[in-house]
Amino acid sequence: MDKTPLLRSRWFEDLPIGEFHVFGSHTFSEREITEFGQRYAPQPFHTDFDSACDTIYRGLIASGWQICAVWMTKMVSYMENYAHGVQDGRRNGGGVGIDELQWLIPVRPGHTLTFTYEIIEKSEKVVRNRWGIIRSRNEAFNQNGERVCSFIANILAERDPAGR
Amino acid sequence: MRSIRYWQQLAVGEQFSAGPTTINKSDVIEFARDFDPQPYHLDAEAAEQSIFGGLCASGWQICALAMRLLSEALEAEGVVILGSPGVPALRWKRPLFAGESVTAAIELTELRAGPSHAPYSLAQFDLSLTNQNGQPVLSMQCDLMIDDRQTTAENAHG
Repeated sequence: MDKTPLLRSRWFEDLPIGEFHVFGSHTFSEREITEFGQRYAPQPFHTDFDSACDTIYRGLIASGWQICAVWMTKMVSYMENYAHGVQDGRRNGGGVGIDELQWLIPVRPGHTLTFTYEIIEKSEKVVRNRWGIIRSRNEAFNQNGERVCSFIANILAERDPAGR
Repeated sequence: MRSIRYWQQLAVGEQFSAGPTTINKSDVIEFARDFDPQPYHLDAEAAEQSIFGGLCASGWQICALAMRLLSEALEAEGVVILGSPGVPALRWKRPLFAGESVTAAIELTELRAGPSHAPYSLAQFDLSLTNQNGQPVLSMQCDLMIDDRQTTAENAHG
């Protein structure tokens, strides 16, 4: 198995367009959905089974931001396990923003999502003399293979100081 | 009881506001432990050494907070929100540090039909979140599904 360091432990110049990763899977429990809903997204379809049954969804669904937050968890643990990009933090830039975020199909208690990541573009723009911007397409698929969420992330990556 | 404002009663250009609300150190750390366990969201000392220079909220926590403020602003006006199909664009402008407060300024930018037979139509909003010093923290375009089941009887009674 190739142990090449992945993602953010490499310079911007070394991250190739087309690189693809599967960050992992997560099963959403009813309790996780209602806890997130009560704290961060208090809509009736996120907070409580009974009130969710009276909505157009006829039951609980996960907040879209919970899907994104779980994507983040999976990305961080993937990087820690395979790249050490989080601990050293050197080439680990922050997020600039997100484009085309779509929540396509409701995620219900017991559903399992698998999160994928693909580098689709490298911006030529140089940010604060230090960073480049990596654009990645991120998708989540449910246990039936249906795409439930999709977005493009714009994340900073440190450029090689040697000035390639 | 406040009367319901259906999608048909919304107008492009309408403005709304919500907040201020303060994000505490414990809010930042709790979200980070569950979802975004990176040093600058978890540990004040490590955060000072990081590119952000202090303990700051996960970007996703800021997004959830922004949509919560958007929902509160609309619900205060009697608008019934049935979910969101997505966010065409969002930009994190500067870190939101523990202990800071944010206010949301919101403008309705577009109204369009939903899928046929759906009990909602769509509205797009521009939201900008600023901190207690008026500095931009987040800008977000957000689509919401708004109840449009205005009945004839309600029409008749205005």
